[in-house]
Amino acid sequence: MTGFGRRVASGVGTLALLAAVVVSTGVIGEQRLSTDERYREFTVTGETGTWVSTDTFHVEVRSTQAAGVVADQSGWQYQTSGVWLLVEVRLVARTEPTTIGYAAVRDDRGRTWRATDRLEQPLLHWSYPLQPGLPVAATLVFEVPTDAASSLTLRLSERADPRMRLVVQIPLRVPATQVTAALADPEPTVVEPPRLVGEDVDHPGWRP
Amino acid sequence: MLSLLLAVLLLLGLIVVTGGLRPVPQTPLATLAVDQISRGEPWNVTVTGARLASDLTPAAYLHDRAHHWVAVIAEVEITAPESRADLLEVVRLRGIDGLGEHPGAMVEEGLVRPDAVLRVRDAASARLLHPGLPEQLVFLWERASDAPPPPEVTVLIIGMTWRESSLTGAWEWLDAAPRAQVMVPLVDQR
Repeated sequence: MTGFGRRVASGVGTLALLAAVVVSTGVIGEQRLSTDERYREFTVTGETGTWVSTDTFHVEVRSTQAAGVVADQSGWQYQTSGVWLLVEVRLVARTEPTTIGYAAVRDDRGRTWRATDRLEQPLLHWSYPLQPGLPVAATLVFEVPTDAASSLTLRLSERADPRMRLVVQIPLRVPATQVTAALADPEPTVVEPPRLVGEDVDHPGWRP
Repeated sequence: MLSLLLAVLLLLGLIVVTGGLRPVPQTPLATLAVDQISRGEPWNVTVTGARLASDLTPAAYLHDRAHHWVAVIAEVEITAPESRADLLEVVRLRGIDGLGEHPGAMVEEGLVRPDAVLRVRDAASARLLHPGLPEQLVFLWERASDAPPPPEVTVLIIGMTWRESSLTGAWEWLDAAPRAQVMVPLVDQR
């Protein structure tokens, strides 16, 4: 190859290298995670009737009930323009005291409803720590539109902001016929406070 | 270096000539009638009335019992896809003396944030509101003045935009700003 040919080859090679650097930088840049992706939650999925575990607690959904009216322990009744969902759960901390800071239901359109604040839900307060080895039975109460009630998934996490945390997801079984029947029933469903269940736990799956 | 400076000056000149540094003209605020819905994100709002009210204990507590409440009644429906706990941000009030004078009151550019929000259905404080479940709410402002109240108040309905934050890169509800105003007759029911 002549001197001129070598210079041309060297120039072309340099240009090709520069182009490769620019293209690969662009490709790498495109591969970077967005902020929401970097702070995403981590989900663990289960189903009604089985224990599901996060890094801090175990939970089992026992049943889900629809209601047109609910009442608290004082007898005060709460009406709704939608429908109430009462999710019966059992919870126990794994190795250290922990709390449930996030409880919500999400429908198949991605809409999310936090647990209602219209009546007291002591389990969702920071003042109600779950203790290892002491299972608690509780009712989580949600207020949702009737058109969403049959396609919901329960979501629970330790922190109020579930980003970068483990989130339990358990689909709820609420047939549309149950919603219709609940709305036709004027009798209020009384929400029971959380209670220790001890030996009543018949699913050993929560045991570490 | 000189050529770079000239290029920057030329660019600035072009920007000035083409009006690029002129303020963007503000869109006039939409004025709605009482009972007319303001549709938008993250909530639809229909202002239905305004009252002066005295003590509402135990639903809401005045800092000074000699004061009274200005109450704006509105139906609010969350249009965002998740429950919201910022109900104090839904509306602002303008054009009435004696508001925002107690400790903790928030006044920004003459607009006063409510001191409390009640749910009519429960006659109790409202913190959360959920998608697809419209509720009648009462927004309360503590008023310190003994002067006669004006015949009407101006309620500003706040809107927000779901967009990527230029600061954090996360998607958030940002740019809270009035999107409509309602002139509401003020009825004294003390």
